[in-house]
Amino acid sequence: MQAEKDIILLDLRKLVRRFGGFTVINDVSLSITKGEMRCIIGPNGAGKTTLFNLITGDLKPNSGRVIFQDKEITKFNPEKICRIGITRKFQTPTLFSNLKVIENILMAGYGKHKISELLFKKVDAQDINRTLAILEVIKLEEKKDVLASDLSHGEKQWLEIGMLLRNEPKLLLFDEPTAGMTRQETLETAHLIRNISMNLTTIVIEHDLKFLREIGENVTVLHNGKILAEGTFDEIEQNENVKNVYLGRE
Amino acid sequence: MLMKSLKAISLESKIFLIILFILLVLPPFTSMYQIRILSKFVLFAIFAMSLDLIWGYSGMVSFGHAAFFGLGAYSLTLLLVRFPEGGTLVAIAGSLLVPVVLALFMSFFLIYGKVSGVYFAIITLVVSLTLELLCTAWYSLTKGLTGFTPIPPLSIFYLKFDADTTARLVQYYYLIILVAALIYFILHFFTRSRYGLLLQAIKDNPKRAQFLGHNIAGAKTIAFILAAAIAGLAGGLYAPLEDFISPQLLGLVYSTQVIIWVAVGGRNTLIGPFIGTIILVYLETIFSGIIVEAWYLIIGIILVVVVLFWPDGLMGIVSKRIRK
Amino acid sequence: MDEITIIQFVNAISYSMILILGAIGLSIIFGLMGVINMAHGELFMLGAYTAVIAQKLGMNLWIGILFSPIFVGIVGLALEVSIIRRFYTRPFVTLVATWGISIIFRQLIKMLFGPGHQIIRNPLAGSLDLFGIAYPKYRLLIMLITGIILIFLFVFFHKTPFGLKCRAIIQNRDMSTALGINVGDIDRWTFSIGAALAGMAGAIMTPLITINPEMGLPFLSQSFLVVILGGVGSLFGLIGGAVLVSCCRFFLSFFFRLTTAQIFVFLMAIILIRIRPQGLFGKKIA
Repeated sequence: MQAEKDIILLDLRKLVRRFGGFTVINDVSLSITKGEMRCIIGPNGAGKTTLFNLITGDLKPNSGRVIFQDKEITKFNPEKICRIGITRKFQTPTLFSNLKVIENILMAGYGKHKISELLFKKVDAQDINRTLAILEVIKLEEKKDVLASDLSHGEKQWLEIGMLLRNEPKLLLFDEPTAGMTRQETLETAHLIRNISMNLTTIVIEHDLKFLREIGENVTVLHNGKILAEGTFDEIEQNENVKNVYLGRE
Repeated sequence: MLMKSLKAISLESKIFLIILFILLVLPPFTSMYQIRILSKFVLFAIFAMSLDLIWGYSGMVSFGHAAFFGLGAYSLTLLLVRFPEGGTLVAIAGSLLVPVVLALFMSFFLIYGKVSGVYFAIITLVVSLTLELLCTAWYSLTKGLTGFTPIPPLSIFYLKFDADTTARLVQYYYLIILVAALIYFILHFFTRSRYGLLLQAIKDNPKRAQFLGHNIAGAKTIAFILAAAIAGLAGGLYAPLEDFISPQLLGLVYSTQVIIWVAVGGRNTLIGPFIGTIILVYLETIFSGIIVEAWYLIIGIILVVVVLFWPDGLMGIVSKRIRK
Repeated sequence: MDEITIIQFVNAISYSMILILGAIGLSIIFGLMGVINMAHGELFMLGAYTAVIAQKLGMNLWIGILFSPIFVGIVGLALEVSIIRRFYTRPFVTLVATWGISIIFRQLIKMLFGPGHQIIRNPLAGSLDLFGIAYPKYRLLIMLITGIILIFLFVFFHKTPFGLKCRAIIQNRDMSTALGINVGDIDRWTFSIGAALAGMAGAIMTPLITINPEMGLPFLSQSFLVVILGGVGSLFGLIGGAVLVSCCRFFLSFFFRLTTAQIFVFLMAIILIRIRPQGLFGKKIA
């Protein structure tokens, strides 16, 4: 570990979130360093997606703080959090289904523009070129004029990933990026995400152990809203506690 | 060169230019009465385009859009009558600004209050009903149900605009056509810009748009305010032409009429509401003289049938034909 | 309190009971299917015209009141099967389509009966002496009838399997479908019952209000206010909303003209939806 010289990008401090009387996130503290790729695993109901909702401003914590680049963002609304550089992939493909593939990416590119930069301004060649570059990465060049709703499930997931890339975040959150994919698609997606994470800080929620083995370096295990263990994939695989609550059931 | 630039014009704009041309050359062949109702048609068509901006393009169904139209008409009239020193330009500015203020107020309550879907429709209806009642009740200002008549003419430079003499009426007619053309092209560039794409995206999936960093409420508010201003201007120009305004202009009747025009013409296009309005209002002037009740019955049936079978309206049918 | 105040108060109560009866269909359907029926006011109007037909045929009002829920219920059933069910996933479309329906009903009635007012004779004229205050017998009877219907509905909604299913669908439509509840059937019956009740409210009110083809619109806007103020899909909310609307109207009308009072109620609704979008009595929507 080279923790000393690493810059902490995202710092969660003692987050607590309750729904009614039920504590979904219970005193979670987590630090993500710049350039890191962190996987979060845990059984259903462990609070993984809620954690993402708290980071992206979809939900507000009952207590605790979210610090991003040394700035408190706990009370920011979702679009503001996105604008300072945190973008998320939802569990199910969340796209503009009535827009064309290329327009989906274009919209992602305009995410951080002011409205005054959009009013009465046409889509220009630079926008298009950048969009085409993304389409090349996600291998959808040939479907650029297809409506997003007409894509296959795997293609939709990839399109959403492409949108996130075009959004140019500093921190990317993936919520089960391989859900509902075939084995082949899962492998390709793992490969894609590994490539992405070379230049970006990423947090990935994942169930699929093959996927984790493929890309997993730093793993955090959530259980009943608490952090159960942290370490490399191999360490986690050997951890008795983790085996009991999670891996043991696989 | 000419051919090339012609090709660059969208089909929609070509149709609009043809209509514009027809409207421009029509006056010598028509009677004064016909020019007057034609002017009215075009104003209603502008009104319909403004509704489509928020309904078709932004996905907010307003059942109270006449509030802006009527408010424009009343603002212009009251300014002309009670504050004649201000002149026509102040009155026209009023017909734009007063609806904008209402729209800002409504945006705060509705758009920033995250009121969406059906609630949005109902609350806009309630706003329109409230204004209609207010106009009825506040007799000292608005003359209540009696309504305002006569309304002074508009005067810009040395020209006077109203329906009193043929010359003034023809001038008025051309003024309205000019405004219609301006508004069409403003909306054309507005909806085809990056911002227009943003509106479509928000209509499609607001959550995704928000989580890409887009300011949804801001984007919707701008569309809502622009629509209010355009509706207000159309209403303002309507008042001196008709020479009579009453609280009905703000209320349910016109609010729902304009919905029918847009639904029948075709949402999500500019030319659809424009043509839909002109056709329906034209048919209305013909038929309502002969068979009043039956005509509205037919309108009801048309509306249900269009919504059931041709959700994209007349333009939907036509554009499918063209694509084939 | 003097006599007039008390009478006003009792009037407000009886008016709110009618409002509940009429708005119940609108509210439950909104909760159930997520659609607003813009023709709901016309169902009220059709109920009133059922009473008019009964009188024209020489029958008394009671028979009209008896037939109105049957007739309007059938109209509602036809409406649900032919139009509403196609669109419950697209609320905007339903809004516009049902507006078309409301125009059709209104114009049909205009063509059949003319645009003018109809008059229904009050079958129970005179007033009853209650604690030293003379109160019209017919209004007392209305309160009695609607009270009984509401209690019946309450039991129906909260104690029968049908009511349970209804509430389940309001809570979570997809889950209910997954659990094997026949959502289509529940929609159809609820819509018909809601229509029948609106029709009955229309018939009951005939001796007290002006009857014309346009009478559905003000009723619709009142019902909207009830739904906005009271929240969606709960009987308590509905009752609360209706009492609030009618009491505000009646008490404000001490100080202002009725129109002004109405404006205040409207403004209240607009402001309320910003503060409590789920309505005053509704549960918070997650």
